[in-house]
Amino acid sequence: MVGIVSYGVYVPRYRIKTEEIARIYGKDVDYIKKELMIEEKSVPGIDEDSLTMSVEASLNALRRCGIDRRKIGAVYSGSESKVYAVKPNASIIGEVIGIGNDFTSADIEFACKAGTAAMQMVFGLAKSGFIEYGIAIGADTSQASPGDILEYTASAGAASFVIGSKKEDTIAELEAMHSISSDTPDFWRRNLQKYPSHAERFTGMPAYFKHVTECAEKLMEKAKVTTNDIDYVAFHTPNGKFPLRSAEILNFQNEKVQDNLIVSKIGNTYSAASLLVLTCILDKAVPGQRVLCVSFGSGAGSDGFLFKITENIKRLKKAKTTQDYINEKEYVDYATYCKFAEIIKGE
Amino acid sequence: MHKTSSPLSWRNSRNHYKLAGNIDLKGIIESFTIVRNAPKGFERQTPYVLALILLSNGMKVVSQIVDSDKIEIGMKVEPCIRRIYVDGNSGLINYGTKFRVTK
Amino acid sequence: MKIPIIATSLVKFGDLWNKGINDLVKEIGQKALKDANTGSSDVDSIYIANEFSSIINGMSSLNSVVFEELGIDNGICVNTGDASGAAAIKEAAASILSGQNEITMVLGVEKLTDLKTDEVLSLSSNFISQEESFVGATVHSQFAIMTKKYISDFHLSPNDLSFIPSSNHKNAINNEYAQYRFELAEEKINASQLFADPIRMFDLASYCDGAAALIMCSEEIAAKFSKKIKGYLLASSIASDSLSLSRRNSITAIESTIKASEMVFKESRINASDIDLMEIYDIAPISEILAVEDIGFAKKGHGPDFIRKNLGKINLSGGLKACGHAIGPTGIRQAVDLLSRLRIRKLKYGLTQTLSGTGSCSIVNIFSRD
Repeated sequence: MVGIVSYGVYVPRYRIKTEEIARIYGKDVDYIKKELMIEEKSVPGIDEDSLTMSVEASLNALRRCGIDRRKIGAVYSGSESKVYAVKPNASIIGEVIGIGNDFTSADIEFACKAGTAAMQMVFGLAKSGFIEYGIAIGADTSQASPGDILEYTASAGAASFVIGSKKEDTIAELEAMHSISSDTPDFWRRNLQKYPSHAERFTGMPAYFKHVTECAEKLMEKAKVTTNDIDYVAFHTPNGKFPLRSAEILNFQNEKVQDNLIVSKIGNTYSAASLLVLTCILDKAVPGQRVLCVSFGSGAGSDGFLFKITENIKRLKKAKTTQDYINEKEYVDYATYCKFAEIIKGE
Repeated sequence: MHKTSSPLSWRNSRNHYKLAGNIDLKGIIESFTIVRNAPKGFERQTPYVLALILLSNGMKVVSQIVDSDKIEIGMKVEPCIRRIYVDGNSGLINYGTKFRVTK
Repeated sequence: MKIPIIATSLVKFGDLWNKGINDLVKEIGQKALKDANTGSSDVDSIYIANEFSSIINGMSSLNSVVFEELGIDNGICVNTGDASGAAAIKEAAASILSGQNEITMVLGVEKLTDLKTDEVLSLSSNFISQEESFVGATVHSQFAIMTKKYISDFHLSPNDLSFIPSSNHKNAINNEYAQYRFELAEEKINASQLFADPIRMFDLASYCDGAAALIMCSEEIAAKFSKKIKGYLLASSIASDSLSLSRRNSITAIESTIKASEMVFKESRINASDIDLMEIYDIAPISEILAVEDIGFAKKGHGPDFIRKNLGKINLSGGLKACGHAIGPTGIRQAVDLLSRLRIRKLKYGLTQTLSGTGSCSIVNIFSRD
């Protein structure tokens, strides 16, 4: 068996409201809010980045469980805003959280599904017995071109998972896994370009919906479960509309998908998006419940996981929850947001 | 801060990571200032808080305090990892320990 | 010891755009030689105080510059941070006491205005610990942390300290060598922008260019210069403390000054109460306050009171605040200014105190008029 042993998150405290961005560019805020279902998004402080957030999330994961951190044999970090083009986040994370130097590590990229891709690798290493425990992280400080529609949604956050293969400390057993991959040019960023490019409405049906729904269907078929067997669903959240629409297409009742709406409060955290919804669910799930998690990465692909919650979830220690981070906030204006994001570059 | 060398940056980070990765470490603010005139490399960060902190392991450290507007002597803090200094466009990103106020 | 000082010279501190390092060395050295009515060939060696010429002017060997401009051999460069000038005096005295030299010159030069303000601020971070400058600290931010603790411990407000830079300015009005020779009212200081809370812009001494020199001789040949003697160096002590505030026992006392003062009073066999005039290192109000407490003039917490009651004894030159702080020359300027005022007022004993950084090193020198 293999599964999640612990989890931790980090969302920066600063927020910028949709209406503040709309104000600067003279846009209709009601229209944008209706279209995207996003009220505000998280903004990383001037000294925060995908690495610092990954460390915080991983330390929270370690706070939640009692494992000996020196038994962690892998750190895989998924991000499309890794701090160096060449020099991995993963090995720095491993050093800072103090797991020694006997671990394998690498940075993964697949747009917004880099985090789930990292989890798949660590699931593999753990299940095959190569490692006792491993850490997989999805983290991003996503950037969008000033004035572009993506600016309302591109935000920052991190989710970290400790993964293991022992029955006695797994809190969510991985029952089944399925992925879809294709070459779909819906969203990309060329080398040395600061901001990504996207194909507007093309990112919908041929990209997000095709991959997410097909992945979910094939996963449920593989695991021989129906929507009735699943208690909660976590999708990738580029905005509030897309995950709710996916739920409709797949026939999931509304209550099972509500956690996806954290996006309206923190925005699209890219590689952490579907994972932060998953952690929201883990914060309240009880033993015996099933959770479906389907990510989406532009380019494009989807990773699907089916988890079953075990009794061990009751034995987790206390650590800051996703809701705690969502509720702890401080608003900034557009000028401060630019200062933090270093949009106005000095020499 | 001038151009950081790899060996210097690497040695510096040892000590900082020990503090930042220590989930049990706590501190108390002994004194502080708000820096408004920064040395080279820190200009874009002003205003920032620098404090002398007494740690729960008995040692003291001079460090920045982040995420809080209202600072008072005696406040409790905990460590977190943050960017300290980025060496231009092609040099190293130096990480280190800063502190934030705990409830 | 009682080492005669047979010449002193100063240039006006400030923005000396037209003068480079070589020009200053020549000017200050020749002025001192003329003052002693002696030639460069008579000078056995010269101790040169300069901190940043290697970075600012790309010249690290000022002993060669001194040889080129003044013809004096045997130049030794002394680097002790902000206190380099005072340290050069100590070294020169040692060379006389040891019998090695009969006549030694002490010369300080610095060209800080060749850099921009933020560059100088960064350079001054060389005088605090690397762990502090790594997180964005400066000499001034560290003095601000010390100030905050002091006013918290002793129930003061930041405005209670601005009388110190204000009175130093007043003293400099008649000092032809001071950079600033105007009054600076407390209200103006309290209204100036915050530099590093609670320290304000007008609380702080400015970095500038400058040069200062003195010549000392052995007691054996003092008779030859009897008409030239400006005063005597009775004792010189240096002590150290941790670079970083995080390793000090207290941040409202500077232990290096405490230790150096104890030693210097013992060596000179005079007491704090015998001191008639003093030039105290006033880069920020807190440094002057802590100095008078640490030297032993006032109890902890009573520094401001002592200064208020003794305005006629402290920093009559205007201190670093009004004269400007040129780093290398400063400790020498303090000595030169002290000696001239002891003579003019016919007073007996004087003391200079010079720090480096935030007190990682402190040098206390005691002089007498006769």
